[in-house]
Amino acid sequence: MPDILLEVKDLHVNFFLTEGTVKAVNGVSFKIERGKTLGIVGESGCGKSVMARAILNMVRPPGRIVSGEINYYSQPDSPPINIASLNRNSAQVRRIRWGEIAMIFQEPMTSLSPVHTISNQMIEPIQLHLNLSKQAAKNHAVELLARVGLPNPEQLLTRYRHELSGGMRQRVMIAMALSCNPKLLIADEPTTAVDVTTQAQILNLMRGLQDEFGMAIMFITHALGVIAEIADDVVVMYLGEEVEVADVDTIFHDPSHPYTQALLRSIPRPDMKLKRLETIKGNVPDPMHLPQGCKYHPRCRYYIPTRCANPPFERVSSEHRARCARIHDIKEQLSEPTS
Amino acid sequence: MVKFIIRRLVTAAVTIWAISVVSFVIIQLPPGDFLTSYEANLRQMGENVPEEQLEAMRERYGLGEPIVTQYYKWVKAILLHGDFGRSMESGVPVSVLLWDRLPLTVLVGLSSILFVWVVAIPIGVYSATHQYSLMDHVFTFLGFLGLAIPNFLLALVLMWVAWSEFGQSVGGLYSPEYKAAPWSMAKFLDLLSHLWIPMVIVGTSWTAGLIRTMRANMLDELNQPYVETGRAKGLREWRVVWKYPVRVALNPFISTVGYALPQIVGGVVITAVVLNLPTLGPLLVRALLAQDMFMAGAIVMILSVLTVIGTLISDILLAILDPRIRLE
Repeated sequence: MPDILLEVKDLHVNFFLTEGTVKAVNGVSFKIERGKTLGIVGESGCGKSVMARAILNMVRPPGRIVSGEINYYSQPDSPPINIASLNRNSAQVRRIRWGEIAMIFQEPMTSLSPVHTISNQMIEPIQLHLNLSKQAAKNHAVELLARVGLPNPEQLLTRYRHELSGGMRQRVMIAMALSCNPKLLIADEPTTAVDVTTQAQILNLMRGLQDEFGMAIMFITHALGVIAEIADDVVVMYLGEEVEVADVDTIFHDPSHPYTQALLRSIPRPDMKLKRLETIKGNVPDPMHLPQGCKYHPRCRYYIPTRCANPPFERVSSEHRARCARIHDIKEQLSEPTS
Repeated sequence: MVKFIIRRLVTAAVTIWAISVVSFVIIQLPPGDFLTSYEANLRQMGENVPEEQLEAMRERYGLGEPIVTQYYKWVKAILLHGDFGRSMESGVPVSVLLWDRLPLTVLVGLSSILFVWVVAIPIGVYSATHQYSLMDHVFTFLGFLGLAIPNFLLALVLMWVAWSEFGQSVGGLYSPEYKAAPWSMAKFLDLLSHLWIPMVIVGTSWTAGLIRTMRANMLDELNQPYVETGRAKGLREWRVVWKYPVRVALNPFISTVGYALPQIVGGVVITAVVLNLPTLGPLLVRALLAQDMFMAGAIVMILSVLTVIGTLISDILLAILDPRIRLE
């Protein structure tokens, strides 16, 4: 019996705009195990960031969680708290935010305030959630900054965001996110806006911190390479739906969904002989006018009109599921390439 | 920070010097020297001017000497004795007239700014956080109404209300019985009871504009990731809004401190005349009409200096509020 920390069940988040309703998250379900890393991968606009905000019940109007459950198990044997059912301004939700589930964002530049010192911003949640005195909170902040590998932490506390480099800002955000010992860290594309060297350092840092602090990580990215490095389990999202869920080895070595397969083929690989890199044909459809039936069908090479009308989220094996009506045909096709 | 302030002080000093030159040129512009017209004025009224007195004034202002010497004497008198010369119209020293009105001008100006801020900032924040809500539309409507109604009309209406509903004496800043009375608590309270009319009138025309500015700035800032960080930290929503985006959106307000005073003096002259306010605006208008050049020059000079000081204050406030500005 796996030790579940967070269980998302059939989550729907809609944005009610004057032009129409956008179903940003459309029936997503997954589980995060205590201390493990779940990778969420998908193209821009597939709803992964909205989902991350939904977990903290932070979706702002015109967006709203329409239905579904977000069950949070603070302790292994404690009854779950359904975050989706709480008022988004309630004290209960605010206690969970940062105290239990912390979040770091894509833009380290703008996710820190331009007009407050690092000290001011770091001490704030520590005092709020840990009830420490100002001096104790400051000492705690210094320890954390040193732990994420930042030199001169005391001096750093007096700095402003524009005085730091991109990598330093993201380290500050990570230190801040860990300040209240969260059980889950949601990382929304934390390495997208930094260069590759810094990206590798940050991933290493996060892995090291996970061993030390024991928190689970929900890592959101569009980069499959990053997923391969850090995730234990993977959710592949497309247009607000999960199209494939499996452990990281299965996703990379035995993907079932045509979309996952196409994503993998479009990664440049140095060991393959030089040829034109494959792309997925077409574009992500307009979110106001989603395709009928299988959402991926306009771009799918295996599409058969009647077969793909209503693809089930099918179990490939016990922990591997894919939303495709033709999983088994495709498997056969791929396994007999010589015929 | 100290370096920043020193640099700003030096620029301010240079600017004030340049302004003094321009003001002096204004004084010199009318043909002939003012003493001739002063003498002529007095003679016309049948008064005889003793030759010694004219000679003393000629010496005092350096008339007949090179223009640089005249400028030097003018500036020296201002700097050392606060002596701006004499008003040709009334014969009273300009400084006496100025000191009579300057404090009240500043008082009306500052209280109007205060009124504008107290009204515009919360409404702007509310309108932005409740964009397109019913109240947002109501505030927008009222704001544009305030912008569209001429100030002097509003002044007349409010005066009537104050008189008919509250039985207040209207016009001016004091009731008649306190006009010449020495300062006391009662006089101060009387002043406060009169101050609200100009405060509201001068304020309304600005409030609308600043509500729009605040709303637009807030809408820009509300979607910034740092606001989301604040929210994710588990802060209360009002605390998130007031600590982060409001703080950043305030910058344009601080920069208005600089030109608030001259705008209030210059922009609401008609209102000041209608309300019979003892401020600099009506005085300047009268000085210009009467070609009372020492008076006009002195007022232009004072207003410009106030602008420079206001700008200096807003620069320093901005640097305190926004660390990015200190860099340069």
